[in-house]
Amino acid sequence: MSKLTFLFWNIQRKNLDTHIAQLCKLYDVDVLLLAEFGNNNAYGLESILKSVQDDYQYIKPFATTKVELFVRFEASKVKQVYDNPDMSIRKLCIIPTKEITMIGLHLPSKLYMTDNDQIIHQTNVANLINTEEQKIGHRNSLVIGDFNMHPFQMLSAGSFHATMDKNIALNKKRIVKKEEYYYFYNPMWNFLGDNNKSKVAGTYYKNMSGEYTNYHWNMFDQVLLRPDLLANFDENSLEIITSNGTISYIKNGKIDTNYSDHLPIKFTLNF
Amino acid sequence: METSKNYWDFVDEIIVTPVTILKEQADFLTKTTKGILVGEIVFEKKIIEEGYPKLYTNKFQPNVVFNISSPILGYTYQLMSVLYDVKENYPIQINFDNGIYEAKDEESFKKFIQECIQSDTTKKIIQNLYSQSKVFENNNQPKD
Repeated sequence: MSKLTFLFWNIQRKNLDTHIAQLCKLYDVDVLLLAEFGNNNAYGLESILKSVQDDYQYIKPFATTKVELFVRFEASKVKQVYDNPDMSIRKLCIIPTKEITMIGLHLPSKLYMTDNDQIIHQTNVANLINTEEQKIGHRNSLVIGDFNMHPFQMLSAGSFHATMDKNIALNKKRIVKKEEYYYFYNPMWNFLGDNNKSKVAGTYYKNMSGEYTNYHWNMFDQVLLRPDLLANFDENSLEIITSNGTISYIKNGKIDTNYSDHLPIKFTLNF
Repeated sequence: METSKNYWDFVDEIIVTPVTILKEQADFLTKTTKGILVGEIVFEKKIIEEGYPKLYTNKFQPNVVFNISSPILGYTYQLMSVLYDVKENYPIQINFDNGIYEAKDEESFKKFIQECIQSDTTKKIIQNLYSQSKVFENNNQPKD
């Protein structure tokens, strides 16, 4: 059996090269996705990654991208398919029997967009993913990134249609008013709250103490999987990372923003 | 035998719509780059969620996407998308470079499109895609 381990981290434009390399080694990461890469040097990070573990490649995007990609296999196995200012679609042709469509995204922040506009945006993105899947001809797709939304804001059939229940997702699609809408499974639902699934209740912490609604913990960084990938998904591998093995990214019960204001997430697909 | 009169008071006249303007610019891109890059206009159905701004009243609105494609690379970049009401054409809502903008009429829409196309962001993307496509064209490499 072969495996593919994915790690996503919004690094808040900080230079966290050493931490990233340590995490890649610790978790044996094959596919590394970084949002808010800022002015960091991608080839510099590639060198550091190679010094820790062989074979990492930086996949230089054809156009602007929100999510930088590094892989631990030949670059020729990554096919760039689509980019827009929110997301990047790449085909991973690593497993001969199962091509994977990987969508890395970083949706606009709640700081710069109203809830209404976020709804518009989310629906656009979900529609585009659906369109590209139709062109590609299969739905072996996963979406990973900083959605800047909570799992409970991504349930609508018109948007990501991201259910919390694998068995519901395995129905593949649902018809609403004569239209077909495909499901995603969103395993991040399992991390809401403090019931031991993770050491923290989210991937981003913001105390809005002056507001009536204050989530404190936000589950903005997520992975969604189409039902066609669920048999490959190792659900126990999904983790909100709170340490690189020696340094904790949590301080006084909050995210230590000396590193990033977001925590990384990682998971594995088995084939 | 006709059982009733034709009630369609229709004049065969083409008017300029937001889609006309986008399609013209898409075709200009294809022509300017001699087909190395292709401007594409794609129609999608957009679902208007509850809580959507009052600009639109129908649940389903046409969303028009302006793509730049490189057939040689097998790659597509979405430059912008436009949401409009088929009954009125304007105002329209434009998604470009992570911002949402509104154009009230044809004149302001044309001005906005010109600014988008001539922006540094767009120029950089076009130049990059064109250059990389030419490399693969000269190397005669297959798409996949």
